[in-house]
Amino acid sequence: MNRFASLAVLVAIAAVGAEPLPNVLSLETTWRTEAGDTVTLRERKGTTYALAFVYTSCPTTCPLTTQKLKKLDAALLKAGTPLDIVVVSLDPAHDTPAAVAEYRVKHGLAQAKRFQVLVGAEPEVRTLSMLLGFRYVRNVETGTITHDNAVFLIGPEGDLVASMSSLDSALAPFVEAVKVPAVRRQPASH
Amino acid sequence: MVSAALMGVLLLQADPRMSLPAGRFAPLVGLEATQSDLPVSAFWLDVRPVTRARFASFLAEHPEWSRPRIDARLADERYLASFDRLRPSDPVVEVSFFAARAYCQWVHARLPTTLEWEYAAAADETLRDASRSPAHLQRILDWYSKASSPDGLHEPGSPRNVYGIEALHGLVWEWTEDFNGQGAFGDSRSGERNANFTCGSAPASNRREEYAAFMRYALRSSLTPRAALPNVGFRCASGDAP
Repeated sequence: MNRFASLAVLVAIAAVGAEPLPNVLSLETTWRTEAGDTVTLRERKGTTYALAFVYTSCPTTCPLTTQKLKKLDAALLKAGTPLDIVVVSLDPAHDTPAAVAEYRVKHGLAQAKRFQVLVGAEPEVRTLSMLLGFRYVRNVETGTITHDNAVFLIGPEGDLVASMSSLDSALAPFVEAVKVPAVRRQPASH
Repeated sequence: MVSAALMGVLLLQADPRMSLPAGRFAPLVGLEATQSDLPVSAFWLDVRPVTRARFASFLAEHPEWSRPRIDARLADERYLASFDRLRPSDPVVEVSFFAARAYCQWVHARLPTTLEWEYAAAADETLRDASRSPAHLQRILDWYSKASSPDGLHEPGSPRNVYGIEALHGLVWEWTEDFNGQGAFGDSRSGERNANFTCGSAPASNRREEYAAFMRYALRSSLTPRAALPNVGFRCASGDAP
């Protein structure tokens, strides 16, 4: 009868328990900037920024994500709260400096100083994505990456304070979340 | 006294690891419409899941991963809760993805990808791909149907397979580097969720030989990286990730 009872219980257990706020600083991740500098996200401590995962050869959803980020940038500027928009590459093997430069031109971001593209080794991408609960998998033959579509708002302490779909969410709640002082946000358990 | 010390030395030695040859493999999930299988590069995989003894060595060097000090964002409250009750040779369980990964980094290795793990686990004692072998599948399903218990952690698990890898079945479930990847939504506009895991899709696959793999993918996609569960452990891999 209960052939698969043990698995069912396991799945049920996995679903319970209050989750502390994800925090991008729980583990250190190292990145290369477009200027060729090596940085960690710890250097952004004390600032609020938006973060999204994209890969430049992405055929379908990433261009939509990039358009969403441009709209977000405009909305934040209009609201008087412009933020850095950190774009993390999902495909470090192919997102060379040249590919990133091309991505910028293609999306009208050549002069967009608030946009910053970070490229890191594959394990760094995996670490950051897991910290944020962002899922992706790469087809080893075609290189196609199937991934979630999300934009994250990262607070001064590294906490994930808001997120939205990079495809179909309204911008307003995300922009509003930027204005909420950090002290009013639910603290992480540590 | 002496034998206990000798045992300790043996248990503290590096995890034995075997090389697996490159090949092609058809995973249950992750093929594109035009693909019938995927290439797997040669890689190394631990013969057995990481033991409690080895994990204790890691904790001695990295106390930030011990139960009292663990960052709550890297492991839930069950993290290593039964650690003191495990035997040294038991597989370590109640480890989060983050902790499993930190251990593998400590031994200059990494977690296997899901594709690599499934590739290794498809083998039995004589065949590289026994995923269609009724006997192999029956053994796996028999294990899945058994309720898990702490005593189960003393079991040997599935016998050494054709690659020299043991206990891929019958002992613990195991973390993989991209365990949650198959739950990713390609494009949420189209409502194209992962059809393999939506409710009611299991009966759509009436091929019994796919059921064991289905269970594993379903379990993995239900996990969060903080989860520390009493029957989830891990083993490490090395070599270029695909």
